[in-house]
Amino acid sequence: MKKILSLIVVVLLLVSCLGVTVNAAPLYGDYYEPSDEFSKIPAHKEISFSEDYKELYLGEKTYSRFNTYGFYLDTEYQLDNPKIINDKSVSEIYLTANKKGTVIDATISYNDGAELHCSFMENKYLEEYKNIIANNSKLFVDFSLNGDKYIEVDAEKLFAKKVTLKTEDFMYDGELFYVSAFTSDKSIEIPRGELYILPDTAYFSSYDMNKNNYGNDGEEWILYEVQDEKLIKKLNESVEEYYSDMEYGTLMNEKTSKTITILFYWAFLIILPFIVMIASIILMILSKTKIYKKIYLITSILAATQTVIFVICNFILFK
Amino acid sequence: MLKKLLKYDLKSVFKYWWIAAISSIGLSIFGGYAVTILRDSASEETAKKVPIALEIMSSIALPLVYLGFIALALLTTILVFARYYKNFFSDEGYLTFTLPVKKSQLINSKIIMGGLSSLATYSVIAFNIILILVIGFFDKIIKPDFWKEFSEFFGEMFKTLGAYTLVYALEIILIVLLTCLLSNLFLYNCVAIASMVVKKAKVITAIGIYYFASGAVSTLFTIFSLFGMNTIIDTMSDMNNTTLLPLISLLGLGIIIMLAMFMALLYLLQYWIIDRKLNLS
Repeated sequence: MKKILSLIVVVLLLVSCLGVTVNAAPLYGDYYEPSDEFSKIPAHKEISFSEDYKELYLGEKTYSRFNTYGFYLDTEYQLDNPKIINDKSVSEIYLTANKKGTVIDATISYNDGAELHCSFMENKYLEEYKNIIANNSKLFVDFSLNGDKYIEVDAEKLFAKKVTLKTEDFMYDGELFYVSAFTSDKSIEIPRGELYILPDTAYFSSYDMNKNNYGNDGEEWILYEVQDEKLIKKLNESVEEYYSDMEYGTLMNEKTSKTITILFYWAFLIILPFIVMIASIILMILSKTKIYKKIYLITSILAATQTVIFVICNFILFK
Repeated sequence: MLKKLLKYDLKSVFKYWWIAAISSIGLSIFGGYAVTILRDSASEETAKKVPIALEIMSSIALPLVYLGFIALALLTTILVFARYYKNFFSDEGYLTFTLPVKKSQLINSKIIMGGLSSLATYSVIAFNIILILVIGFFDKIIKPDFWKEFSEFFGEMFKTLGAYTLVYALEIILIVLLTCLLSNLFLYNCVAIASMVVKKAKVITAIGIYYFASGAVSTLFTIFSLFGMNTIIDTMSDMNNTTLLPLISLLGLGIIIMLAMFMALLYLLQYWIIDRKLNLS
């Protein structure tokens, strides 16, 4: 019984841990923050494309192919060629959007397993976006990695130093670790590019420059080396916080986890046996029966030994 | 006198236990062959030779083997529980407590009986797992490379740990032994508390208390291992071997003493209930 119950408890806790991990997963390199409205729309419902697949109609809104972004997972199925599209039956269209619903990211899945990935922007923002791109004055960087903290960055500092690097040259611990940079108009929240974070530097990649790159080793990227030390520091703090969250769960950071550990450690391994020791000594003195005296004596010796051992371990572990 | 008591206690448990143990060994042999079949079906070279029916049966067999392990552990607990309850708290208790033996001997006999039963169960389960692996990976085990890697692994371990290998092994054995004894003493206390607090439905109450208490203990340990282990492991992984190896042995010793202390506490509770609060009515 005990084993089954323990197993159930462990399974439940593992499942809840998995839940925490799954919740934490979108924080990593998340480009869009999918809203409920756009999270998953079946192909046959309220969604249609223009004949050339350059426009997307979602309810009353019209979106156009986002020229500076959008890449194909398989060039054989280009959206520009409706005949090929029509020859293949679509099983599902998966749409995600940024918070404002101004940019739609579409993944079209075919019955034969092929997938097509592209992005659309709401028409009324398209012109505005082009102007912002042309001016390039300010950008907002989502330095918290989860879309709730932004920092305003002078675009000049991002575009100051142009470099060409291979994918593997700007990886953080073997992975591309990036945050999104948005156009200066926060109200429409249109992505402008990505900031790749490294321990002592960061690189900015504009979407209109690297649209055909996939992040494979050996691919060459045109990047801008960020010339803002404060921003690099902030970004690195975000990465550290993210890793700490991944390691300790999103419920607490490293410091809280350590505090809880020390509390547990002291409560169960030092204070509890100490109380047992004191209680056993008192009961031993009060007891009149020989066998009880004997058990109390053994208990107090064991409790005292335990207290001493774990106090010594405490100094080594948490010094 | 303890020997005589123990003899009858062991007889009462092992006269049924061995059937479950043999059955689980038999199941493990099937499990081993199931692993072989599943390995063949996963391999591109041999996949076509394996009939689908055999593959399906093998997929079903492995969970059954696992269930067999649980059933063995469960049966052991039930047998130990039944022996203890009947011997102490049913009508048989009147006879038990008129025997010319000390109460401590009666309790000691039950603790040793429970501990040996658990130890035998864990040993059979460990043996079964080895059996499944030996049968399932026989083609790899007979290759000299396997034994070479095996000896290299242990060679490397002895090289890194030195004399601590022996210390750790000894500590692990002691921890396993104490856990076996403690888990049964814990069970006895649940039964004793149940018989102390209720007059009817003692068995159900005992199971309820056992469920609740073991659930609480498991949850506490799981919470500690979930939130506390990372910090301790992080700290330990930063240490050099000169500090780490003695620290692990000291922690091991601390755990042994802690288990012994809990045993002493539970023993005290057990003795006190049997001595002062026995209710056979």
